[in-house]
Amino acid sequence: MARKTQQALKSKSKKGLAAVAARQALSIAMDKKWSIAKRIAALAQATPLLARSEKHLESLLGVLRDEREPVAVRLAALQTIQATSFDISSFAGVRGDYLLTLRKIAQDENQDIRQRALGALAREKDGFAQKKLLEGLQDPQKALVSPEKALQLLSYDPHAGAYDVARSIVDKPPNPTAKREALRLLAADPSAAPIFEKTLLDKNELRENRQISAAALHGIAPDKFQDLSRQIVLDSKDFDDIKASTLTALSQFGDPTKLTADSSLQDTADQLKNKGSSKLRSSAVQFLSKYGR
Amino acid sequence: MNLELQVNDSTNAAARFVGWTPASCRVRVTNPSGTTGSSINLKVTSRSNPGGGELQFRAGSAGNFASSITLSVPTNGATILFFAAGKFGKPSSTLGDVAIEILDGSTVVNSVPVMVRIRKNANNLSPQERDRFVGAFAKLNDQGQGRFKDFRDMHVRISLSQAHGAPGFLPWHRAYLLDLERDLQAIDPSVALPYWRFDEPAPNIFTEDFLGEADANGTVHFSENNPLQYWRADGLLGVDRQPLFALSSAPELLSEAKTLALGNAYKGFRTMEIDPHGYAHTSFDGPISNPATAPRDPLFFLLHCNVDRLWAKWQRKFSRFDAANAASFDTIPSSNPGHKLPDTMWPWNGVTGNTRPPTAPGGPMSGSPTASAPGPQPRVVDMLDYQGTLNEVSALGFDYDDAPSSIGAL
Amino acid sequence: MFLSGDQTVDPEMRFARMVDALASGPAAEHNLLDLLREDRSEYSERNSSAVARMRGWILLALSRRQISDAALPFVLEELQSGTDPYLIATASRALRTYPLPNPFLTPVVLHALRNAPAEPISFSGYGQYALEDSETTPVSELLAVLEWLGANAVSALPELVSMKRGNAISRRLRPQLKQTIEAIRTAESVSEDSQQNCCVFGTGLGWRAWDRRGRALPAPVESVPFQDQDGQEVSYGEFFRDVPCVVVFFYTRCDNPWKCSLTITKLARLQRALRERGLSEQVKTAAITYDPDSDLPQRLRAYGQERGINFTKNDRMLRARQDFESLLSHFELGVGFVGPLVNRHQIELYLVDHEGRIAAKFSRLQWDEADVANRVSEMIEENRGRAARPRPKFAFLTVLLSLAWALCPKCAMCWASYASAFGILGLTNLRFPSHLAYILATLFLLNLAVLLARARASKRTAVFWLACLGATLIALGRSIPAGSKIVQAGAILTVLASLWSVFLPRGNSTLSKKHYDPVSGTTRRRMNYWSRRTMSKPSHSFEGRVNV
Repeated sequence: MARKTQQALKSKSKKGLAAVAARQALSIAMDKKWSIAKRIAALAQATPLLARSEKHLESLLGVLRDEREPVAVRLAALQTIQATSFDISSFAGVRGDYLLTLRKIAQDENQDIRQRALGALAREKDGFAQKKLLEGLQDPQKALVSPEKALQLLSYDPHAGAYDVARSIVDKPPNPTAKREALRLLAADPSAAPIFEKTLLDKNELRENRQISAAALHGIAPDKFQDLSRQIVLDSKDFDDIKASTLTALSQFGDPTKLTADSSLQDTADQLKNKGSSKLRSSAVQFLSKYGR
Repeated sequence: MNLELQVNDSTNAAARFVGWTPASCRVRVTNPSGTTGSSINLKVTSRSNPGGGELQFRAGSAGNFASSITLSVPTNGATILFFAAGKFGKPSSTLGDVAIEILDGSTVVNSVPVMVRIRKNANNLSPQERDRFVGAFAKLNDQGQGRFKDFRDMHVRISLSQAHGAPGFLPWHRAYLLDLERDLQAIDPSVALPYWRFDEPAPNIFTEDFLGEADANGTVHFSENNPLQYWRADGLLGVDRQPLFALSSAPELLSEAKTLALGNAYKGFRTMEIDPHGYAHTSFDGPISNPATAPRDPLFFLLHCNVDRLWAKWQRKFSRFDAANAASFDTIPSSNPGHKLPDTMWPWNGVTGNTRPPTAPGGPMSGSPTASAPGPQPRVVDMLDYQGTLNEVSALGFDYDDAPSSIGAL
Repeated sequence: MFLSGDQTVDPEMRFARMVDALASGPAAEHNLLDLLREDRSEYSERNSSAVARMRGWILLALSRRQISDAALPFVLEELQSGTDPYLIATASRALRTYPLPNPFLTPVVLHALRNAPAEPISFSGYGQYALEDSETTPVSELLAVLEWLGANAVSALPELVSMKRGNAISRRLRPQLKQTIEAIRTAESVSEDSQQNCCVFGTGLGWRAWDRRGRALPAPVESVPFQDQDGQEVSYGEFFRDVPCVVVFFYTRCDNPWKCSLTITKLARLQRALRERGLSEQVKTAAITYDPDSDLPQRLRAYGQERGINFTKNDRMLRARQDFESLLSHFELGVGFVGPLVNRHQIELYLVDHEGRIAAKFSRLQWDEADVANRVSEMIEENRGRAARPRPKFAFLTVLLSLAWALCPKCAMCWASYASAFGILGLTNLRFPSHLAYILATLFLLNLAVLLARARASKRTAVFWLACLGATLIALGRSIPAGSKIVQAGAILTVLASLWSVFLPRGNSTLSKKHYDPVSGTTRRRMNYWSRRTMSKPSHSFEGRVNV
């Protein structure tokens, strides 16, 4: 009994010490006089206290909003707040303030802060963030992030309706990454099938764009996808990397009945297993292990 | 003479998987020709390929394991029970790299290939293990049309309260992973869910051949023969995941040692939901950093496999498999349904409405040829004794490479 | 809250200005509710967030006046099935203007409170998002509704007290939560009136039914080709026949868990309920996707299976291979699109009879599986007990009138002809009564009026025009010398028109022709006198209690 009491007291005093340590860590984290590294380390130690206290989380949101704070500290504050958000019942009381804060810092001077905030909001399908991102794509003067980032974030919600602007970017891309992201976004639009057909067959296109097109077609026009992928594999003039991609797709998602009966494809795969890049050979072996005679 | 050998009480090849937890096996004489007497002494042993798994055996339900045992088997066809377990530290790397052999003298009378199938550190998988896992996972996803969609739909904003911010966090995710793993094994039985050990550097995971490498935009790239290049979730192509730490090191979060020291009672331990679990999620910018969107990213499942592994190790450290021990769980009377020991868990229980979400995707828990637990509608309590330490029928059919079974072959 | 002139360039701003104008004009509520129809062109090609801003502005406008029963479905659907914080907040405000707080509203409000998004809201102007410490939140607005409900919200007290103990409500809202609890506890008890005047609740709200004669033919959609979850082809006319069918609309990319996902889950439950009643062979179920280009068969199957749908030859999920527009129009679907995707849609359930005609519609609010199963049972009984269709009484009348007109002497010459033909009756001794022309003209006009009504009801106006042509020829023939042959031709056409009208079916009498609305610049529908009469009487199948 005495031992149990001792253990209980020990445990209680441990908890007490831990609570004190957490409070101290929090005060270091909030205090500008400490170095950035020290403050960031203190934030992690203060996490148990933050998780239990709406008031302290609100203070941390204040740090995140404060443009006078060092960017690294603000980003660490954001990460800590996001980590506590996984305890949804403790976080419920500050979720509204968190979203408000994200909107505010979505227009921050610092690009990293803007990008992280807009990313977090886009994942919440926030109308404010979607409006800002679309405005930025339509008018580069108003852009808060790069067009490729804006497209990536808008793609998180198919109802964000960025299809028209994505099409115009595919036609006139400001840079290759933006075109790629526009293609990814358009994969949700069945009427974009002709764009993907054209891109998939275009040997001048980047492998990634051709692979995105294959993936998109599989989702919106599966028969077309199978036919075109086959065409690419059989085309002796096409590149090894796209052949490997499409052969992988056929292995994974192709129609087994058609593939088993397709002797031309199997003959070609048989040849490819011994020539071409290592990835292509590996894809051919994989294909034949499933559909080989 | 002919013999029948059952592994996990079955002759089905799908049942020939064992872990550290002892698996019940049976042998019987099906054709006694050439035998004399009412019984015959047979040696049970194993033969491993180089680098393959290793097995140990025990004749009864108690006692030590050994590399071989001798059984007296009646010639009248009656079955004799024995137990096989993977030797701790010697998991298989491929299907059938170890076999159970029954010898009559020096003659092998029967041989059955098995696999010591264990959840491993993803950073240490062989290329073949990695490719099999990735292939099965991509197949489960099936470009967003496969069964993976059910798993995605189980972990959305409206259902978060079923599994987060309350005592059921760990049991629910254990059930979630188990259900997914069983579906992966239905595609490729040699696959076990690997874990991302997030408190250590794991550069082999974030490569184009495995879970992908992010570019400056946070878009993850896969090599041209990696089937994950066709990953689709929520109707969106591909994966976005920008690391906020150098991949040559680990993210800033609570180490394993500190996590296991969070307390000897579940109430203290489950604070790991924020650190290290929450920090692991938020060490990337991307869908994985938000609880409602995290399962879009295949990394989610490796992250949670490590969370579950930490729980398993904590349970072993403090012997917290017994639900009757108050320290094994955090019973809060006012908890919502799904967070108390006797409660069934959504969505497997099919219950909707009131405090449960409006729909219950995925149906009941998948079964397994190697374990009868936890049943189609698992309860919170069913997730505690995952190795069958207290009751062998409670074993869930998985083990971690560094978490031995206290009743296994150490 | 009203907009200044320089903000009208943006289409959304123009829309908001129009809403403000309508809100201060005549028939404000009616016009604003009409603007809430999802298929309005104003919402076309707007993303879901924009649609939410636009609809929220309308609800806010409604909240500045007292809403009537007609507005309730629009308000309650946001609380019951909405996920957008602005819409929930504005709907809450609008609800507080309803003249009759009553206990039936409490579960709806409580449901919304339980699931309320945390996002703060700004009402400072159109399209404004809260950036600073907010004016309000959905939770705050919902608590205000519960306070307004007063004693009617007594059933919410246990949950509110539990919220107070937990940490689901933010610190800042706790005083309001406490105040709400106190207000409910100390409120005067509920009046009998509020308990009884709940006729629009329960199964009445959101339900519209048409009797057998009032159902539109499926001719416009008979040939729409569908593909089911197994890739099997079937047309509307082939599937929707022989037995009644429960039809729901949905799409797999819907991200609102209270709409499509729940609709299909409930359809699965309905299937089970019908099976338990032994009715599974006597009724079909169909789920038709709003998104046919994306919802390919395998996607339909996976979505249905995941939600417990049992696929049989009578229970299918369908995508329209072509001509989805006909379905949109025939069912008057409450759905809008941005690009290929739905931007907003209602909850919609239809009962289609054994001839493929829409018999009933349940919209906006969550339908109850048992209630639908009961109504399906009634339809099955209707199907079993249907007698020969009684001759429409007006058709008989119009034939008589036409024949009378055709045969009656319209002039002295005709009179003389009849006189000579009926000489034995002494008609030759009678003078031609000139006032007969006026009587006949009156009868003729009556005949035309009846023909017009029947033509409108069946949406077949050719009959009426034929009769008009007949009348014109008769009038022309009378006014020119030797026009008797023209008169006779006119008479023949008139009789033919009348005979043709006998075989016209009754159409959907709840909806008249569209007419142009100068306010919004769009066409809109309005119920006519005949429709209101039809709906005010219970049909022999259904309760017939309807709302506008």
